[in-house]
Amino acid sequence: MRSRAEHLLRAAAALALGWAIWCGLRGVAATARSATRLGDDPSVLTPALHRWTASDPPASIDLRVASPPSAPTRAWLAAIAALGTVVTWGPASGDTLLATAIDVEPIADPRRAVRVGVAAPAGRTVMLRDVLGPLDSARATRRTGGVGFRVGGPLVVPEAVVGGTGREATRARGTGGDSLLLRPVLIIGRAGWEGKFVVRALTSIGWRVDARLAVAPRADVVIGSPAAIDTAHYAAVVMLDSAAGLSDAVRRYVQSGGGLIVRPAAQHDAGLPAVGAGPPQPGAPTLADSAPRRGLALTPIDTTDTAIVVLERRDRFAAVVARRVGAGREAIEGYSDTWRARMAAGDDGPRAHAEWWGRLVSAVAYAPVIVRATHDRGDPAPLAATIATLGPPTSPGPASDRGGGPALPWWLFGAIMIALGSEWASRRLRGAA
Amino acid sequence: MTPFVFATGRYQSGDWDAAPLVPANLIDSVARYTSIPVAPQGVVVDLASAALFDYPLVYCTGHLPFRLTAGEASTVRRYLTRGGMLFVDDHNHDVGGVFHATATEELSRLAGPLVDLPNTHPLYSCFFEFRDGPPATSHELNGWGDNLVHAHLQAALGPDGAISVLYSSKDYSSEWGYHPDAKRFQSVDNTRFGVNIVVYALTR
Repeated sequence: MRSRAEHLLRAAAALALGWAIWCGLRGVAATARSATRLGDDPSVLTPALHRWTASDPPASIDLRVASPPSAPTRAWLAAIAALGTVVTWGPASGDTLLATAIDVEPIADPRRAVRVGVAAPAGRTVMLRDVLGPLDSARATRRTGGVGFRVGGPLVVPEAVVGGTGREATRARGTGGDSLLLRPVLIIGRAGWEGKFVVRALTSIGWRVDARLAVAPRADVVIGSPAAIDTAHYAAVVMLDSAAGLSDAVRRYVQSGGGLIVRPAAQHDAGLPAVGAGPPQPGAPTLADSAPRRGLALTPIDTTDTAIVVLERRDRFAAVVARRVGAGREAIEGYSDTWRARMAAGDDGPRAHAEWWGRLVSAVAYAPVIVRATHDRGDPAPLAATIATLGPPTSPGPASDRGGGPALPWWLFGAIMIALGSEWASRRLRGAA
Repeated sequence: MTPFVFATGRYQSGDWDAAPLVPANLIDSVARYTSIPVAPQGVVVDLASAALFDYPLVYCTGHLPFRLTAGEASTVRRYLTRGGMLFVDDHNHDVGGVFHATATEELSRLAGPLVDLPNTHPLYSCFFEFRDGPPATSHELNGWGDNLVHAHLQAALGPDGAISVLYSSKDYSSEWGYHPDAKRFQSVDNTRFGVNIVVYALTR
């Protein structure tokens, strides 16, 4: 019986030893597909990706990067991971990966202006560029969570570069974006300097303008070809002063999605609920180049209605406000004679006057989106996309810890030793050789 | 809405105030024929003054040389660039006279070449209809001055095609230089073209 037990122990030790040898041999084989750690140097990474695609990839890849990998690199790594390779990634030691995102939105502006929003960590400098070169830069703040840019023309492959310009920079790439269908602007009012110069201002920045300026009873000066007031014809309507007889048409237009800019005194002719206005405030004695509208007389707009959004303030007064009316938008503009800012506020006056009116129209304009068919979706949020594709970043560890060959279990060695020791002790105790 | 104010330009050379009754007569006509709010009194504004920018239409006339000082030229140039309009009338109705020679030279230097304004221009139809272009004046028809009936006004156009300088050799300053009450003695009011100039300036 004891001899049989010794044989069993010896057999168990032999089996365990055989298993250990098998494990060792399998580990040697796996070493040929060992863990690989590499950085994001394109001269190394790209050939490695080619090599792993053409032959067996390693058991694991650990990518250490200074910035989130590009979209093609991410897709390539995801494909390799799908073949069974464990892909991990994370920042190289000493580097911080910057969460960045870019959003490009067309503005209702005939020059195809766009609004670019860039999310970036506070304190980081954000540079906006496109294929033609840098456009602007600004520092991200904690309050806004990033930076906003307004670019006065179309962008070709817009890109936000955050955190320098080297390999450590994070680059979020947007697309040129969709465009907007812009119909003309209709200006209604009495003949006067304001109407004349608003027409000029909007025309100078590319808006097509129709105008109907009353000169005498039943006598209007007509500019362009004024048509019916509806969203099929006009992006916005500007009512400079009274326009009797149009209230029904204007109300229907705004409620069906149109944009309206109206002076406080003309509100009753717009056919919409009037917003209160305070007593007129005089402007500064002179019109300064730097703040041309400070010199204008202002009728402050009442902002007690919570639906009102203040677009511009002068001191404690609301100068321009906006609100939604049905499906459309209405802006109420309290300045008087904005043409004075154009004429008297320095050589930049005409341009500033045109830009200001252009922004006001853009804020309310009805502009259906024309979706551009494109396969390029950009890379608007590279860090988020990397996490979505490859999982969250990991801390760097010893390469052999991840994905090497199967290690010899520690208890197997103990079991072998116990079996052999027990068998040897049994034989010694019974006096066998 | 701020009323329209008729402004007469004062320049240092010559006789800028040679037609003192014209402003009142045109103000009367604008008020009479249109619903445009108009100030009952005109103003006189120095061409070198920053106040020029408060009046986007300025009327100038005279018999004597029209030479602008450096300050006047600088202000007028900026005024025209920002959208102001000058209406300059030769009180001599004489293309061989000193006012015409000097004014056309100065204005061309400031605003670009003066070209004949086609008689189909909106200036002639924006309120009253003038199918034959600028109405002739009695001085032209009577053979005074240069003994010509000028078929066209001249103008310098801004970059957007609007008139920045309107120049007349027809001597509207004499034609319109009477007290507004005297209009009742005319079968056709000869200041109606002046209303067109004001309406054009206010709308184009």
